[in-house]
Amino acid sequence: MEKAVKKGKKNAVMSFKPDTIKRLLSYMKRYRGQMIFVIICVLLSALASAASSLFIENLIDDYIMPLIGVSDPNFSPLIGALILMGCIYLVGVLATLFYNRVIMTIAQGTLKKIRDDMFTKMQKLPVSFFDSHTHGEIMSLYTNDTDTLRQMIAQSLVQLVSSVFTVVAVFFCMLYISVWLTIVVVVAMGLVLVISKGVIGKSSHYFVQQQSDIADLNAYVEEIINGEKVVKVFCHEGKSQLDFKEKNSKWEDSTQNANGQANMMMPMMNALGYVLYAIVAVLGAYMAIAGLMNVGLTGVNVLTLGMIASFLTLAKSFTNPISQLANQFNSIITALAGASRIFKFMDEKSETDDGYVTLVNAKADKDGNPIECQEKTDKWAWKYPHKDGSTTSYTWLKGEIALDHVDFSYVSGKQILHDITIKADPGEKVALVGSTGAGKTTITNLINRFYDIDDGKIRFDGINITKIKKPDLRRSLGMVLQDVHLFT
Amino acid sequence: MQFTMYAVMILISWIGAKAIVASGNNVSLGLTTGQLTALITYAMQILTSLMMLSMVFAMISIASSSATRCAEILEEKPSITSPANPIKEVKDGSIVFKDVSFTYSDKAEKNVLSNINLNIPSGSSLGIIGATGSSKSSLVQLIPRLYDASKGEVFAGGENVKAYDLDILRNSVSMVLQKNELFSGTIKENLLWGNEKATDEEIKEACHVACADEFIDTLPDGYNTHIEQGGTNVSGGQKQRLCIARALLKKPKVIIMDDSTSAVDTKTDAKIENGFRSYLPHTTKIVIAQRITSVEKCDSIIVMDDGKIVAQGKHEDLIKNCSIYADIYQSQQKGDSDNGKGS
Repeated sequence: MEKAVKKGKKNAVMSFKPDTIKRLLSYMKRYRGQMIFVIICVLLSALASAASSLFIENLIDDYIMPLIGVSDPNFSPLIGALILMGCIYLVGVLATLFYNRVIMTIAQGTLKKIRDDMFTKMQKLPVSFFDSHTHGEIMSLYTNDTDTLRQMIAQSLVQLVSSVFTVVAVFFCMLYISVWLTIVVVVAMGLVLVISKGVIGKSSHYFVQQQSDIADLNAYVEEIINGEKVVKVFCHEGKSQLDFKEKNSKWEDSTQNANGQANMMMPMMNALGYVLYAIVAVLGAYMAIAGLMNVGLTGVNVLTLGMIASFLTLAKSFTNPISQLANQFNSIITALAGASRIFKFMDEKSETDDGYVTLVNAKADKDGNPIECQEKTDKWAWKYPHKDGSTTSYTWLKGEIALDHVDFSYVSGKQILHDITIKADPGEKVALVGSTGAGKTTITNLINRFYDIDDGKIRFDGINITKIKKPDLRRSLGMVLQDVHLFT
Repeated sequence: MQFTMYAVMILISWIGAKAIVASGNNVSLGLTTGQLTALITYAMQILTSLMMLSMVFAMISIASSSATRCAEILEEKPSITSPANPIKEVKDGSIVFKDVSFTYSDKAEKNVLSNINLNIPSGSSLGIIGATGSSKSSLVQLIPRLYDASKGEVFAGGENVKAYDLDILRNSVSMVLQKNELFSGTIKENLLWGNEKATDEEIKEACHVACADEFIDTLPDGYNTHIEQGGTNVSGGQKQRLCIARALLKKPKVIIMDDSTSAVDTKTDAKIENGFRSYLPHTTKIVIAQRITSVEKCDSIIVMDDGKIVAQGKHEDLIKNCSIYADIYQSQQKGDSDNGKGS
């Protein structure tokens, strides 16, 4: 456990590698079409909400004011404008509906691919990997870390696109109405962002910590479930509860620290949004009443009531996405932390297989030599392609095992087997006897190439087993392990 | 929700516009443009809050299904509990099975154990031999109440096991399981499971009896060597010996060894056996084994077949009287070299 804790700490400091994002995107590549569709829909939806702000200005200034005092008001332009707005709104609503559906397909598909890849990778890892990693730790990758990714793809990415776009669009809308007021808003937002950066910076460390803490907790639960009978026999329930509590509260702490600070963001930003709203309202009113010169993209004019109303709505539309962005930032960091844990797992060194000798079905020719054939013959031969590539020779699978001056150590420097030479002829029964820990199991693990030897040679029918493809080697050997597992 | 929000916007605009025009934008007569702006802002706020609320409802329904699952576990009543007024001490190591039958689930038709009657005097040793699947392990698991007997009664120290405080019972009955588990941590931490307060001397003594000290001493970190989860970095026999040492540290009244020397060589096995006699002379020993050599010195041996005791007696008697036992003995005598050598 000590080890795992140390590992966790290192992870937290390391945070995530920059290429994590790139790799994540490569997983989403096959959804490129859908992604573009989502982005377009997000933009449409954002446009609709921006249009609604502008509409209020036009509504008051262009459609209501001219009608006031008119004895026989003509409402038809107003109706037309409302219908137009209705259409825009409808497009916005539909776009929102579509992208929500499509992004789910993308997110789930991507995650499925990642999980599949992880499992495939897991099958390729050497036995020694599982010796040094707890099962719970690995399982956490499939559940907790992939879930953070789901959140990011399904929610944060959409938010990111829509927020950035809204901010840009609203910014220009604000400029369109009043440059001065825009400057006020932007400066205020800048201040807010500086503050929030400090808050986020602190919490992102905890988000990474949170992921490794939960893996740790998982590992512990898994271990205790496995040994539940032992726990009961030794009345160890109380002690293991204490251990669990300790790990649990570690996770609690990191989650609390992470989310506590992150959750502060939203209310903080909201409050500041209100302050800004008030400032803009007062300033705008003053400018309008004093008749100060206002510079907008449309030209120089004096602020009208409708313009102020519209600008206020815009200012709110401007601050909201920014605070949402700040909020999403944390979930993105968590997800990237999760993703880099997943990718680290995927980058673990696979069992290497440089073997080129394969096992094939064979039948005997006139001279009794094996020739390869497709049908099942219950006779097997080693297919041995020679290095120059031109010739291939076949030898019958006989079952002769020879260990020739084999040295082996699990951990370098601590030799377990020293200068072992054994020979087992085909059909011969060889028993390994020795006191426990003498290395009997180890020898069988070597023949299977669960581990590779340091020195010497192991030959199977005269072929060095490093030259035999691992699946073929293991296919030719039957092994009953000490710890037997059956599968559901 | 977004749809409602937009629909409300348009409605307010239309009605508002008409009202303003009707009032001539005069406060005393009705709606003004300023009020319209405020109205729209209010409407937005209400709708946003409603949207939040609907999200909260969705979240509640998701959470409630998870909560039900959690509650199920929390409310699950353990069927094996300490009684209301438990006995706090196991007097001696005598074990009695009286008409015991057992099934793992109520629905199973066939009994795993049927009509077991067995009397093990305190301090004696009992060997259990039988083919795989003859319910040897099921029998001994009833003693520390890992399961309760379906019918009949199990007595320990003269009292029904159900009358004891569970912790007291399990502390007095030490069991080395067939599926041994070591936990990640140092060797010493694992051994301390047996007795948290054990001194280094006591640990060493227990390891000596279990013949574990010989390999621990060769490890560079000795008793502080780190064990991986499931004990993957020690050999099968080493693991078994550590588990035995762990069980010995409890200084139990009854020790049960469920096939726990299967991966230990015969010489070491005998050494452990002898160690037991001097280390725990007054402890009742129950040994389940595949190898006759592991049990032949026991005071009494029972032979089990298909959940029943088919014979009981000393080694010499059984060889003469019990065909199953004699068969096993014969086969093991002949092929001792390829039998039971774990790896």
